[in-house]
Amino acid sequence: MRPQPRSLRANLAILGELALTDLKIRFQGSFLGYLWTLMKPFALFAVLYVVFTFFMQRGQDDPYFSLKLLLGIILWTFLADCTLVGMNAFLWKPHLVTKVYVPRIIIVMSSTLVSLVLLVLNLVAYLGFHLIFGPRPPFGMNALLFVPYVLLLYCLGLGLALPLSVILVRIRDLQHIWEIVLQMGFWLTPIIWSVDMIGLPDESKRELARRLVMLNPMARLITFSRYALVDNGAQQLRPILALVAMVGVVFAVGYLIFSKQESSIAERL
Amino acid sequence: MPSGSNSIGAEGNGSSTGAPAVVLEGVTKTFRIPKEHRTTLKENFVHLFRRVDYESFEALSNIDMRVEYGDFFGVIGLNGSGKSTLLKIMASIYEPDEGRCEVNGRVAPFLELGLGFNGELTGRENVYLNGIIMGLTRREVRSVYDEIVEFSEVGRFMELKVKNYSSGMLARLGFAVSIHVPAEIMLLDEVLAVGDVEFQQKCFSVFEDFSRQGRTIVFVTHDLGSVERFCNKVVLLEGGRIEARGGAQEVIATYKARAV
Repeated sequence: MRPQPRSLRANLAILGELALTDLKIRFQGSFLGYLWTLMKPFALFAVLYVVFTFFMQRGQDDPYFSLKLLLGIILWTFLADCTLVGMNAFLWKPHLVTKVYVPRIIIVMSSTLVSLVLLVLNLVAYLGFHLIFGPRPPFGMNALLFVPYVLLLYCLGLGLALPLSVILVRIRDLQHIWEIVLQMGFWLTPIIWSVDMIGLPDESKRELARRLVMLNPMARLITFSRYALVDNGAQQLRPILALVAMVGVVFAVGYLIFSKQESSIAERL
Repeated sequence: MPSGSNSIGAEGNGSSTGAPAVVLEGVTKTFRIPKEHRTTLKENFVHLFRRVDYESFEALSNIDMRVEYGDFFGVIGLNGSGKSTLLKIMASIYEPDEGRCEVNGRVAPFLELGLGFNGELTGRENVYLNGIIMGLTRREVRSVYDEIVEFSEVGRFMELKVKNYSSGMLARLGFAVSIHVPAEIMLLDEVLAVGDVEFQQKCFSVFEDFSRQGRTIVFVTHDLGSVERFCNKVVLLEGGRIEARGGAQEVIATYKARAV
């Protein structure tokens, strides 16, 4: 049915070109360019830090609270950006659907790659903070685990963006619904708090609450990343495998929905 | 490669060389169009949970056709007869609801105006982007870039964002790109519609070259003169069905007889 399957190399070239184009358009005509994207998580961080540590007098017992907060915000910002930009890929680039044939997964992937680039830039900025305010020595061996965590984070973001993109073409309300979900997710995920702050008096209920929170793959990603980068704690294998399984399920289901729907998007745009 | 393959004599020769360029078997495409139109917020709100009624519109029904390599294949018919839908199925932009569409070879589409042009990019950036989408490498685009610009004659505007182009400029640049990419099969929808006389002449000389080279072209147009001049096979679409097929002259005669 498809016109001759193109080689992987040709498809990668298209992916790269589209991602570069998106990046260019995103910062085109803006004076400070990508500094604005840096500013977003850092402004949020500054406000939350002030409110949390000065007004509410929390986080005092952890000398690296600020680093953990910043890291959590940066990782969450990626997920929010990646899913919002990815889900709008077809609506923002209809010409790639209705006038030429580009494998449709490439259209969504190129959008999410831009978010990945911004994540890397944000992490470079984080590194600066980490070197100044972080532990000495700054990183231990466990920090290496952060690399697979970022890969898992990207798979999670793409695994959500793919189904969202095809459903959004049918149901435009999804844009607003997803923004609400992201807002709720921001507070339900240990970003400005951490799992050991859960303060239910009853031990069994506390444990249950922890388990429930950790069913959210973002909760795991952020908690484990803090553990690896800041606490340099030895990580058990089982919770990581559970995370891999969660991300795998999200991606598989997301991809399935996407591949069932992608053939009909041209006529729905 | 024998010259003059645009003559009627070339008809049917392609089938001996193996698989045809394009085969459609029983292709049906139906679109859903909403019946009642809701405009106000209140209407939308009141009927929030009532499902919108859809009417189905069969744009193509049970189409069978074969395009052999080297065919200059014309598709004619009134507005709304399914010509553009047919081309979009060949370009795999639409998937048929029923039936099968097989395309053997790389496709260069020129559907509606302007290819996959992004309005926020300049002419130059769009040439690169679309060249790469259609299978060129960056270096290959660079090597044909000057030719593309020269052919399109919009060289002065290459650094201008494409959203500011006129439809004529868009068509020129889009057509220029699509004839410079390596493709066995070209799909052309209304190339001649917005260009001026001079651009049309240019298109004609390209068409002449193409039929001399034996390239495969599926050509949708309302310009019956150019159909007669270039196409060795023609189909007439009416209400999503093939009403007539054959050589250019007889099909055009049928078309004219029916249109009156």
